[in-house]
Formats: sequence, C-alpha cells, structure tokens
Amino acid sequence: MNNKGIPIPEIIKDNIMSKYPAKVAKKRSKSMVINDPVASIEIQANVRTIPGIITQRGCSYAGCKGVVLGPTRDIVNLTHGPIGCGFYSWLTRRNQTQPGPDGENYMPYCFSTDMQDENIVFGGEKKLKEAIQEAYDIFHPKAISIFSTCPVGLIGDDIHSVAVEMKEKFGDCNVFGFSCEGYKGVSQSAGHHIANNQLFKHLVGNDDTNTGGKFRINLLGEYNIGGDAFLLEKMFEDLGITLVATFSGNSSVTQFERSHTADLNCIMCHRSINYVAEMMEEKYGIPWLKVNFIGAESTAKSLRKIASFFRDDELSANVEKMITEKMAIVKEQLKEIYPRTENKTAMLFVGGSRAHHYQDLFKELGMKILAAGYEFAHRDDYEGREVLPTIKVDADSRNIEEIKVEKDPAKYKERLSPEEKASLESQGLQFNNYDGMMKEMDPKSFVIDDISHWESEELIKTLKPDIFCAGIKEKYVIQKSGVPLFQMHSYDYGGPFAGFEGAVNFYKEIDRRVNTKVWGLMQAPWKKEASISASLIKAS
Amino acid sequence: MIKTKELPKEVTVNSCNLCSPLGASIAFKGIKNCMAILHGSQGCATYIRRYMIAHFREPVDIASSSFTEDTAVFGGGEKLKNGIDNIISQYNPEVIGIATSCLSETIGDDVSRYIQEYQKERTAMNLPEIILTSTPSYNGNHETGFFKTQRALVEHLCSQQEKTEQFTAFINIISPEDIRQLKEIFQSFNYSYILMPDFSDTLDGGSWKEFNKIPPGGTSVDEISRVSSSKTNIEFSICINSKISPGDYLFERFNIPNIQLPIPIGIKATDQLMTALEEITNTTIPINLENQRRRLIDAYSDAHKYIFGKKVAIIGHGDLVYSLASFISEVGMIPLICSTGGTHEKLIPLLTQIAEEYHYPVPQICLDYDHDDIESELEGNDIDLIIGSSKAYKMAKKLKKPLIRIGFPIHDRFGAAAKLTIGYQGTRSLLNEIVNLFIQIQQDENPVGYTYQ
Ligand code: SF4
Ligand code: SF4
Repeated sequence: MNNKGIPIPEIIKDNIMSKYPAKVAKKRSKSMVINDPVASIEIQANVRTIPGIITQRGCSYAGCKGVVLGPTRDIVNLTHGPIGCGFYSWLTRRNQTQPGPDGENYMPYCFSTDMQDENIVFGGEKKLKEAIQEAYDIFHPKAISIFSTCPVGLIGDDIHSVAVEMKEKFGDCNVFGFSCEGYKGVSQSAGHHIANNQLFKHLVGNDDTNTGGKFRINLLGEYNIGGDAFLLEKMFEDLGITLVATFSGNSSVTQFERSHTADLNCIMCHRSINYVAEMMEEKYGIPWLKVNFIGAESTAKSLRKIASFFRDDELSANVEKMITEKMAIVKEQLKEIYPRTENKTAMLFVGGSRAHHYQDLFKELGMKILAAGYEFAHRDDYEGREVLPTIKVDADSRNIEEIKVEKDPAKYKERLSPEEKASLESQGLQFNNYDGMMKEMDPKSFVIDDISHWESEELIKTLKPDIFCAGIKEKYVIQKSGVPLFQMHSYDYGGPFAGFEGAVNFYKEIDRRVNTKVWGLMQAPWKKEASISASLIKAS
Repeated sequence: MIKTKELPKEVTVNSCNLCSPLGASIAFKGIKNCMAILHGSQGCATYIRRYMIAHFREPVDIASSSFTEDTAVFGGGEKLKNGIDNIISQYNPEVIGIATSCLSETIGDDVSRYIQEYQKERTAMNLPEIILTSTPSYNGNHETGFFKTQRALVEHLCSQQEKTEQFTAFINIISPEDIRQLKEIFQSFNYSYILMPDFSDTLDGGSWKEFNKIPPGGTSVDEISRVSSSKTNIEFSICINSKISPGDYLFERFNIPNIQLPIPIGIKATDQLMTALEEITNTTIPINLENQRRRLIDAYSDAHKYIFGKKVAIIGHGDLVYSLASFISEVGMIPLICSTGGTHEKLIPLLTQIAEEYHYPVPQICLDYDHDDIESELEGNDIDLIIGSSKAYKMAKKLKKPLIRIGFPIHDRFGAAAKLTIGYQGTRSLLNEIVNLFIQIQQDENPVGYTYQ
C-alpha cells in the first residue's frame, strides 16, 4: 500500500504473476502493463491463448458469422458443419434490425448443414449443395453465404467452388463462402478479417446506384446492439447526412453493394472493420476517419469531424445547433445523477473497441477507470496505429488471406485533392488514424489483454471496483463476489447507448447498477461482524 | 400419425439439438471438484460456456486445448497435455473431464494415448482422475453427450465390490431445483443412495464469501467409485440407446439391475418412481410423499375446468417429450404434436400407448425435426399451447400461441435453474403455471376483466 491506502499496481501485478507457472507468467506479464499515457509502452496482444487457461475469447467463425455478418437481415447465413457451432451463434448477439418493405429478415433463423458421420467420412459438398438449393427454394433470398466450421476445413470441402457453382445455377442469388474455421487465428479477430475480405470481394461495388444526398457516408463497425443504429440513423437524417451503408448494424445486401458510392467512411469499431475501410480507399478513393458515438462529448466531437470533412457551412451550422440543443438536455439529466456516480470506479474488459469507447461515458459520469483491456484486439487498438509497422506477422495471422486491391479504373474517384486533404489535416482532422486506448487512460491504470479469470479475480479483490464491465461469461462469477457486472456485448439487455439519447440511457443504467442496495444484503445479520474482521485480519 | 420427415431435408433450420460436448459439460459440472476441458478449438468451449451461463446464470468454467491450424494438422497431444498442466496448477481439481469435439474426432486424435503418455510423463505428480468422453456432434446430440459422460465416469471409476444396501440414480438433464426435489424424495425413503451427476449446487449456488475456483457441490469420486456396490440402479431415461447407458453398462459388468424410468413428471411417472423406491428399499411410500400425491390429485381435479381438452405441441429431448406427453394426457389436455430433434424410434410405441390409454388419436410424432419443420406442422393445426425451450419462442410469436418454457436452453425467462417440474410437487408447480397461463389468456381476452376465476 502507498500512503493513501491505494494498493501499488506493481505489487498487484507481481502478486498475480507469482501464482502462474514460470513460463505462463513470462508470457502473461507482457500482456499486463501499467499504463503511462505519454511514454509508449508495448503491450502484447493478439497472441494465442494458453491451453487450459479460461479465456473470454471465441473463434474466428464467431467473429465472422456472429459479429460481422450476423446483423445483416437479408442474407441466408448457412453454417456448414455439425450442429453446435450454428446453434450457438443463433441470435446470441443482440443486434436489432428493421426489415424494409419487403420484410425480408433471416436473423431469427439458424441454418446449418448439421453434418453427420457419413459427411465427415465421405465429404460434405453434396449435402452443402443440396442445403443451399433448399434454402434458395424456400426463401429466394438475395444472397446466401456459407461459413466453414473446424471439421470442414479438415475434410477439405471446397465451399468456394460450391458457391460459384450454385451462384451460376441460380442467376439471381449471390452465393459466397467464408473459410472461417475456428482454428484460424487466435480469436474472433481472424474472423472479422475474413468477413471483411469476402464482403469486399463479393458485395462492395456491385451496384453503382447513387441515391443522392450531399453528404454521403458509410458507418463502419457499428452493429446495432440494443438499437444503437436506429438512434444514429435518425441523428444523421436530422442533419441531412445520407447514410449509404452501415457495416453491419441494421444493414442489407443492397447497402453493401452501393457502399462504394459514399464519400467518407466513418469507423466506429476499428478492430473489426478497418480492413474494409483500407480496401475501399485503395480501390474507390474513399478516405476514412475514426469516430466514436459512444458518449455525448464523443458524439459531438465525431459530428464535428464529419462536418469539417464536408466543408459545408450549412452542415456545420446544423451540427453545432444539434450539439447545443442536445448537450443542454444531456447536461440537465446528468446533473441529477452525477453526485451519485462521481468518483466511483470501473473496470472494462471486453471486445475490441468497447473497452475504449465506453470509458468516455464513464468519464462523463465522473467515474474513474482502474483497468481496461480487450478480448481480441491487436496492439494498434491499444497503442495507436503508429505501431502498425512494428507488429510482427506471426503464423496465426499469416494464414488469413490478404487480398490484393488495386485502383478501380472506372469507379475510383478522388474525394479530396492532396491540397484539400493537407488543409484539413492542418486544421486537425486526422485521416486513417486511431490513437488507441492507452493514450487516453490514466497513468498507473492497468491495461490487460485477454484477461484471465485469475487476473480479474485478483484485480477485484485488491481494487474493489464499483462496476465491472465484461460479457455474459464473466457476469455471474463476478457478481458472486458482490460486484455488479454490466454486460457490454449485449448491453445487459438494455440500450440503446449511442449518441446523445443513448448517453442519457447509459447514465441512468450505471446509476442503478452502482447504487443498488442489493449487495448489502449478502451478509446475513446473524453472522457476527467480529468474526468476519477476525478472518480478514488472519488472511492479510 | 407418425412423422419422420417426408422429404429428407439437408438444411437444418432452427435446430432442436445442441451439441454433444454441451451435454458432457453439464454432466461434468455435476462432479465434485471437477474441471472440464474440451479438446478442440477454443470456440466450442466458449460457445458452450456462453449457453450454459445464460441458462443457469452461474459461473461456468470450461477449458479448451485451444487448437490452432497446425494442431489441427499435426494432432493435439501437446496442447492437451499443456492444458491439463495449466488446469492443475490453477484449479487443482480432483477430476479432469475431457470431452472431445468434432475437430479432434475428425482428425482422429488418439486422446486415450495422450492421457496414458501424460500419466507416464508426470508420475511424480499427484494427478487428478482423468476421464475421457468421446463426443463428436456429428454423431449424437446433447442428450447423448450427457449420458455418454456418465457412462465414462462409471467405466473409469468403478470396480467389482461387495453389494450394500444402497441404490444409484442416474439423472436426466433436469434443473438444479429438480435435482433437489429428487434428493428430498430419496431422503424421505431413508435409504442410502448416490445421485449423479449432481449439479444442483454447482450450477445453482449461493453468493460467495470467498472466491471459489470450482463451485462447491457435486457427486464425489468416492461416491462414483462406490456406485458398483449399489444393489440397484435407477436410470431416468427410457429413450437412450443401451450402448451409452451407464445403467446397462453396470448391469453387464457387475450384474446390477437397471431400472429405467421416465423423468418423473405427472402422477403416473412419479408413481413408477415411488413403486421402484418401495421395492428397492423394501418399505412403503412415506406419508409426506403420499400426501403430496393426494394434493396433486386434488389439484388435477380443480384444474380440470381450465385446461381440459386444450391441445398442446411438445418440443424437447426424447425423454422430456415422453414425460410431458404423459402428464399432459393425465390432466385432460391433448398432446397433438410431440416433437424432438433426436431419432428415438422408441418414442413411437410409447406415445401410441398413452394415446390409446386416454382415448385420443395418436399424436403426430415428429422425430429428427427442427423448429422450422415443427412450425410448418403447427401452421395447419389448431393448438392452444406450445411447450418447449426458449428456441420455440420465434414460432410461438409468429403463430400467436403461448409458450411454456421447459428444457434447455431457457434464456428469455428468469429462473431456469429454479424451475421445478418433477415429482408430485414439481408436477403441481408445472400444473399451476399452465392453469394460470390459461386464466391469464381468458382475462386478457375478456373485456370485463373478471378477477374471480
Ligand atoms: S464443432 Fe462440434 S463440438 Fe464444437 S461447437 Fe460445433 S458441434 Fe459443438
Ligand atoms: S468447431 Fe470451430 S468453428 Fe465451430 S465453434 Fe468450435 S472453434 Fe468455432
């Protein structure tokens, strides 16, 4: 302890590491750093999970099918494999969608080839073809996509040639596959990359229809959890900004196909979608900006970025007007809650961007972030994109296809001249840039990648946060110890939390969580206080 | 009318089956001080944890040997050994349960050899029991995995021994509250028993004073090793294949009689349990249970007017479907459609027999069905109620039919772990739920809104 009674981070870390076998400690130590926002500290991320250590992470199939493709309503997503993989990814994320006039929505469905013994022995291509045919006959969808699970990769079914064959056969239905076997890569992240590649190859750029609008943007890495996208769509509409496509919250095939007609890509979740943005810039000349609509202040900041990109006085005026109006409401609401949340503490261990984005909301509540980390992010999401050239490509990343992208001679259009770009940059607009989480976190706070059970348990014990944010897998174990856990993947079945209205929802939600009296009931009155303190003294 | 799929369908839409290692994981959770590891890629373990946690609302740790691409090609021996080492150093369990996944089965990984090697290489260490269960999901579903694992446990831990005045009960996939109910029934008979796998505490525990790496509770290794000294076994399944039945194994190897009983939902099925217990313990049914039975009969007659003649569609795993159909018939409702994702041919004569007994047409028996097939069956039928898991919600909403949730998974209602449906008591609480649902419907539909029903 230091003189203020706050445990010293270095000691906590040593303590945690001391319980690991030496080899594991050596490896884990690099993934657990004590932050210094100014000096650039390297964190180990996107490395394999150690067998036998319980991880938050899922597989690349989960990242591909569940995360990126899951929120698109009008693609029939067919899992090629035994039943479990498909079943478990069936509506488990809380993406919402608003089917258009055609009502086409396959999200409540779980399609699987449900492979049996004989398919494993003799191959499953025939079954796959028949399943695609049946799905086509029943639904006549615009697109069918195939997702390979682990066993499929090993028996060598060629899903891509099946896709080509079926696509030609149908003529009016796009069929394409994702080789996203769960053993590829080290986490969901590999699946995001695979999903990005195939979306880009098979959908983006298929339809040149330009539906008009002066300010045309795509929103990338927004998945409409809890209805976030609905709020954002409304916000853009109110500002006269045309949202061409969202990757992939509340999205449709047509949106993806027309996305190359937008003039700006705005990235929310950098981890899961930056590949598409990079490829679109290369091929179609669309620049990208990092934005964040989680947090009222961050929303204001992001809107200003978009306005300054378009250099339009009317748009800028509208944005400023909206910010003034909305911020007044937000502040009014916050005023009442703030005294109850101020100086409370939080930890966030989740995903590949949320652990960063949500810090803004907690800061608005006057709360302090003691520790944070991602589940499947890479070093650039922690340290900023400037470290990209120094990241070593290991075997696990090498097996994910890097597609070669070239300028499209017909469809490439320069959105900004080099001079315009330079001028915007001189005004502070940063293109193709993400600073990562660590620069915005307090000195001496913990940054931990792919946190294990043991590590979170120790952090909770020593730092006693008022709230812990993670996923459902962590929820009940943390709550057993008397700390509320907020599920950040599913919004704990609440939300929306994006934009200005979302921020207010979040303030209220967190107020309820950190100020609930239920934890006080854990101790039964007949257990005498004396004996507890005695055992505490003994333990320390 | 017996329906297996008319046209064999290659695409499964909204399956009724979960995968085999999930069943294995639930079974391992019922073993004291046990850690399960799934041999394959980490995604399966993560998904299975996620589903179990959502259902039970409890912590569930399942490790993985975390295959990577080269493991998938060259075999998972090193990863598995490494994983076991790490589990031991973190959790120090008494039992490590290994369930294989589709991936390790597909590459034909020789896991028993790895275990032998591991035990040879680490002779200096005090190793936990290592139990292997082979659970490829392209051959079987969650029920299969659940029973296979029980069988693997007794195969591994039991040896010939003197018989004692004791019985063993192998349970089905029921709720923690159901397990507690079952234990109460057994205790009322005042006779020694072993229940496995007992996940009533591990998957439905209290808050913790201090951190528990492995939640307390479960059937211990010692108890399982004494299973072969039981005089009789009760196995709560009438559908499973003999090859995966732990009771049949114990009969073949140690000549212990195996009484296969339905999951005790309803008077008849619970009576069967009572009769078996009377026989085993050589006593008569204790007064408290007899009183419960009388109260239940009383409730049946009181409930009659609300539910008589209501037509029901039942969806679940084989044994659950049978017991629910039996109960539903007892209270005067009609199971119109009985559907399961499994392929239990045995269900056909069993359900036919119930229909004959209660004089209604044989229900549509749908084997190897997915929710989408069931939905199409229901479309043309005039049913009043669906009984199924949370996965039946989509069709219930679409068809505007009420849904009572039983089975696995239940993730859109609170309290799956506390759901009581077995024994006379459990049947009564299930009956209450059904009756109240129909009263509610009646109230909602009536403009006056009578409060006295
Ligand atoms: S691969 Fe097999 S074990 Fe793994 S989730 Fe899929 S069905 Fe289950
Ligand atoms: S088998 Fe592979 S794809 Fe399926 S859940 Fe497991 S890791 Fe993921």
